[in-house]
Amino acid sequence: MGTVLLSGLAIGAVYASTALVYNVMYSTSKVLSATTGHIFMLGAVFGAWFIVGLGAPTIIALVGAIVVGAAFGFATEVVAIRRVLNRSDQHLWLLSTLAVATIVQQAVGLWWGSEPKPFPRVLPQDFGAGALDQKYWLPIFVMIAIAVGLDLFYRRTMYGKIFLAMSEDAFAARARGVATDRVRAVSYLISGAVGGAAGFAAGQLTFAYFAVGLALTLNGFIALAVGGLGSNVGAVIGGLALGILSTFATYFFGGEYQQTISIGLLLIVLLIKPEGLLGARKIRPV
Amino acid sequence: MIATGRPKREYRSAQREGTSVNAKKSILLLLAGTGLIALPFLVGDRYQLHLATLIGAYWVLIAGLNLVTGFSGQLSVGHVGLLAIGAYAFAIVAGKLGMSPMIAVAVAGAMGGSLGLVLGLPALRLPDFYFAMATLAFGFMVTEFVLAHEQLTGGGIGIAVPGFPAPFDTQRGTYWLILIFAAIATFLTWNVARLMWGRALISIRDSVVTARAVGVPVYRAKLTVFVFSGVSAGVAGALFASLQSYITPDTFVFDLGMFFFVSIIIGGRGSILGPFVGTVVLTALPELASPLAKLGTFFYGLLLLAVVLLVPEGVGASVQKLIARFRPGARESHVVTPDLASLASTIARPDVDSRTESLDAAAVSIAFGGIKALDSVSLELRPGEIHGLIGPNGSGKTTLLNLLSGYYQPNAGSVKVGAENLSREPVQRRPMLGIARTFQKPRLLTPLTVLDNVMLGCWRDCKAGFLETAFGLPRARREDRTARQYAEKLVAGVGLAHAIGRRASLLEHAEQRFLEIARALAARPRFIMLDEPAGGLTDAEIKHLTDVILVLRDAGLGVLLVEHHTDFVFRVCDRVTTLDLGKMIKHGPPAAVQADPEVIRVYLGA
Repeated sequence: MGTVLLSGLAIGAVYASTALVYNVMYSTSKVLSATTGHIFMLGAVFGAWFIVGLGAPTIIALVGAIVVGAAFGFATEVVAIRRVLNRSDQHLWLLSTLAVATIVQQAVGLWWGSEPKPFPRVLPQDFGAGALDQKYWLPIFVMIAIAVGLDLFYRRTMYGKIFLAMSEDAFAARARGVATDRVRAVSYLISGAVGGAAGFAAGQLTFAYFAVGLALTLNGFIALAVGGLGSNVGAVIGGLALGILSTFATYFFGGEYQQTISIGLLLIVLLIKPEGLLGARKIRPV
Repeated sequence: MIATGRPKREYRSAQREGTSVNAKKSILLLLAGTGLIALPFLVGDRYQLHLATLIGAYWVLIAGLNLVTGFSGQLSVGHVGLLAIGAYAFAIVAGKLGMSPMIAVAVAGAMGGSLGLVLGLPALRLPDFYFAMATLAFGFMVTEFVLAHEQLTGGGIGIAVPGFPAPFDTQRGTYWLILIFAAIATFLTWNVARLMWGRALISIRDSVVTARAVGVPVYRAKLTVFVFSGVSAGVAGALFASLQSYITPDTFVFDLGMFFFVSIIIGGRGSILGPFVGTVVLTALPELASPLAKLGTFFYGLLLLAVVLLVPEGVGASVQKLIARFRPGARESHVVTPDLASLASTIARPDVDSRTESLDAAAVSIAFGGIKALDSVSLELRPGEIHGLIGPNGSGKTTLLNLLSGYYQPNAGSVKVGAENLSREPVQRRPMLGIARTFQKPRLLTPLTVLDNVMLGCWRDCKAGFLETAFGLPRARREDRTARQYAEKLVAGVGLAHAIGRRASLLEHAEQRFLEIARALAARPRFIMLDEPAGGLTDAEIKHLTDVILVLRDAGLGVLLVEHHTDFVFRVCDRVTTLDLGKMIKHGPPAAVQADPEVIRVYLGA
């Protein structure tokens, strides 16, 4: 039972990290990027490749995963966001991020292979460690680090405050002299770096698998929508709740209906509270 | 009349040209149809025929999905799940239960439709990205279900699918059978696209505000086409499964869903031919150029990105747009000169004259957060009068207008017409109650022509339901014809006859303003509310606008005029109401309001 809870928390931490990464990009661009889960996939795949394929030390591999994630985040902004945001059609960012997500997923599939490959041990540890196993604790620690780090970043740094200003009103921020294009690019870079690290940390749980990105894009989004779009506390609560719910459901009813249960949770929450648990309610102007 | 004589003649000749274009189109259609029927005798080998048959099965789904994604703008990536449901339903009913394959196809369609309903009911209430994610999750859920019910579906091992009975049991027979289904799907969606529903769906895609303003029941319309697309996906699943002869959950991967979706986006939204060409090209290309086959979905992703960045409206629509731009006369500028006599006779309605109820806002208040945007404001709009609404920016004019037109509901007070309380009636009921409005920033459907934009306004008078429209039954076609004739008169009446066939995106500002008025009039309103109609107009154009407004009044309409051009307001209005900070500070005849010291202090200036 304890292991079930722990693995639920660990999976939930991955969902929560994904939701946090969604939020970083959303704050500056008001875009929910379909590439979010794929950043994690890249972190895991490249992490495994650096260690197993190139024989790099763990710390170098982590840095490599972060760099790959950051580069991908930045490229996403340049290719799929910047050019479509000033067009009037609101659907375009959905299409462009979906296209980038598909491209990167299939490219990795072609290069890395379409079978899940195991992620190597990051810290020296026996496989018999049970509840103390790093595959549970690493994602949880990293998620906490991301949440605390983002909070400090938003509260304590000028750049973080600019993020908040842009999320409140990008036009006003621009009028006050904020270089909104650059800030947005930086936010995508940060989200890529954070997602790369989190994907690396979660590698032993998710495996280095090209299709994991799409599943995380979906489940991270469910966590985000349940917790409330834009709220980091909500993202953490939503992620952990989703992880625990789906693991316990698997434990009690078997693993057949995981996706059905998580989407069920989403629909119930949206029915009762459309803005999510901690989201801000919007008045839609005509 | 003399001024409009020439454009009218031009339009008639354009109509004659239209008939010859139609004749050409019919011949082309006939040729294409003959070619498709004769295809089994034309292709070189069995594999090519198999490919053509596969395209037919895909097209049955894509034609339906096109109404959802290409027309009403709902980005569904989960139709592969509906395809799977149809496929398994067919395999189980025709294979396991051994019933007639034709009955199995019907069951597959019914299953697709009902699960489309189950999915659409909650998902279509959600915003774009939420909807896309819900459809994505639906695809996963279907796979889970198939894997969990091994006895029924064969689980991961899969299930054999029977073919069709004679005379469709040969490869050619199957092709012809699927051709029939594809032709039906094309016919149904073509009718939807060309009649009133097509305009309504595009309005949902391009401007929900406009859709609701003309009375389109947005959610119900989206749900209707979604269920229709579910039926077509279910039928397509049955055809597809029988072609595959053996299916497993791996047959219905996410990539297939991407392929459907990309075919539509590449072909162009709001078109039927475009997505069809997209389907053919995307199916055939990887087969003809084998390196592309290996890249598969990667290639779709690249194509999607290229289209979104370079030609966001799709290849087909962009070509059309380009042609429209360079058509002779497309950029020719005309002063909008309303044909007042024709306008007056078009909108004259004896039943309006006999009704004397007014549109009545009684002590309405509304607050956003802690801010009282309107505080106990009353306004009575009588038939046959022009009522001005003025006040500084932020005084609550637009809020009051939004409240009258149903975008907001008052916290206190009521909005009534006669004895009928509209306070809680949604926006889309307003046209039925005889209330129409225009918008401060013109909200036109830019890919459509001027005529189509005005015809959208006639939605109120079109009672034909979705199925009636899809089958092209007489009432749907008759209503469309009536709407066309009425809209043509209105377009000429407001002075846009020269631009009647022009895309709204190519209009000049003044033309857009007059088009908005024509669209509002198309709903045959008793009350019309104009939100800053003179904004950005020249003095000459304001003169024409004044003439139009006076014609409306003389026809018995109640006109509410929200404006900043105060001399224009005081010149045309019978009564004027002044707002400041959400409170009414003065109302009465123009002269009295103009002279009021408080009005001068807060708004007019000395």
